[in-house]
Amino acid sequence: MLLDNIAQALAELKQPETLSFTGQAKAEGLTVTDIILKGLCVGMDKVGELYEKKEYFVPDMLKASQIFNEAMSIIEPLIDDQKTEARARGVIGLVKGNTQDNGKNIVRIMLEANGFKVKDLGKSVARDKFLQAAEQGTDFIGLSVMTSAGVKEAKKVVEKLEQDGVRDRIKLMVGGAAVNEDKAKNIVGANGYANDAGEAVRLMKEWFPKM
Amino acid sequence: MIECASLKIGQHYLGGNVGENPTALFGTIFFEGQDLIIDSEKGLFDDQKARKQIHISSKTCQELAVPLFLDVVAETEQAISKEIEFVVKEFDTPFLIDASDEDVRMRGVEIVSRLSALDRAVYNSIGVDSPDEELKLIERFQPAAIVVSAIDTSNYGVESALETVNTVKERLSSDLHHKMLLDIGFLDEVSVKMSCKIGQELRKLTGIPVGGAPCNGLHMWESLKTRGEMGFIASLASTLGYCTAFGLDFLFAGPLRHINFVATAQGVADVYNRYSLMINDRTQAFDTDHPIKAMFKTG
Repeated sequence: MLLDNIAQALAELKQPETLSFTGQAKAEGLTVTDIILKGLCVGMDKVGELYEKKEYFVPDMLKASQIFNEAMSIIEPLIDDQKTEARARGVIGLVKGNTQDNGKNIVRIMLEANGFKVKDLGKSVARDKFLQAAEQGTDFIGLSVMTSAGVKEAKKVVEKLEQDGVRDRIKLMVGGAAVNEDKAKNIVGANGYANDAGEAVRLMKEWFPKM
Repeated sequence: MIECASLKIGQHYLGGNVGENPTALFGTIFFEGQDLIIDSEKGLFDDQKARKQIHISSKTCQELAVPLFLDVVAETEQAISKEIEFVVKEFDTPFLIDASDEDVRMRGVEIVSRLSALDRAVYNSIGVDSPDEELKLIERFQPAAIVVSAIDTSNYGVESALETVNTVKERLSSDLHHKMLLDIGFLDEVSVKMSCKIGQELRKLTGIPVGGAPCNGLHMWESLKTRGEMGFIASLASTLGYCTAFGLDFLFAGPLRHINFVATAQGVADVYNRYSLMINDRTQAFDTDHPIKAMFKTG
């Protein structure tokens, strides 16, 4: 019930109620995964549906994202408590030229909540930073691609990893508004595509099963 | 409230009191998918078509005294070199060096410097995340104006925009502060008023000319596109005029080919702003290059 309340309040863009229900869920000992997956993400999915139906617009999405992040900050301290040894370590970032980071932030938080160690490289990340991460032994790279120019940029990141001989060592996941499974795998050259945070977690768990 | 600065770019002035200088229209050329593009990576284009589009839009804007800027977009360093060389050598119109990739923008400003056209070049754009290397290069070359992305989508509003501007100012050499233009970042097809109000407020608080790309939202509006090209262009003209009423100083109007159709409506909106200014200050002369003069010529 409490998780439904979180989802509904977020879907209706009610900030105080969302934060209050989230705090209550934390106090009652619900797990971070449940609060995120069965509460906040359900609310965000509803917001996404309303956006698709043109009942919500970009400012509403931003508002939802803002509330989501505030709710996350309430439960984020629990993530470290509930985590054991990291399943895998990796980096995530928006390719150069892309700056819309809401989706990327949600994916990062969800991966962390599920036991992955994620370094957030931020927005408009230069190719060399992804390369540097690969050279330093990262297990995975997540590329967020929001524009058609970003698709080309993501492809160049992959080419750079190949040129440097580190491509085969890492798993590369691509997501974002400008890509689909076909583009991610056949144009960019990724190992996998995730169309939302839940899919990103599923994919990563498949690649990095628990020891 | 801080009085808005007036900035000279090429033959045009931007900013000043609302109505003092007409709102500039930025018409985009060389974007991927444009009919004149042959290879966007190599910078190959049909120069006859490009020349024709620029001539038509420039002639219309000149007749109306609507300031036109060519928004030169490029994907690669090779492309921006060729496009800028073409624009600079064949036209005296002010232009933007526009690319999502900072390496391409930086190459663009170097080319502009080599062609001695910095006095009519607008660098588009920098933001809080711009690398030091890029800011140093701008400081070295000193283009006529620099667009600053004044948007924080994680907390969209006047306060976060102001914070963004202040952060950029701290990183940017002080001798470039008077060259800044603030892009307020229009979000989508319905929130134009919200963005305009942010721009209006930001202009008052900073004294820096403001503007943005309300055309982007229209291109996201699928059902609007079904109203046919003239319906779309009329909507674009209406949107640009609406933004002008809020005192915005520059507006990205989308593809350059639309300029010929929207410039007249834009000039009309500028006449309203200018007359409003004149009512309150009769010292404002008619003898300047402005639609209030150009659009009342007969014969």
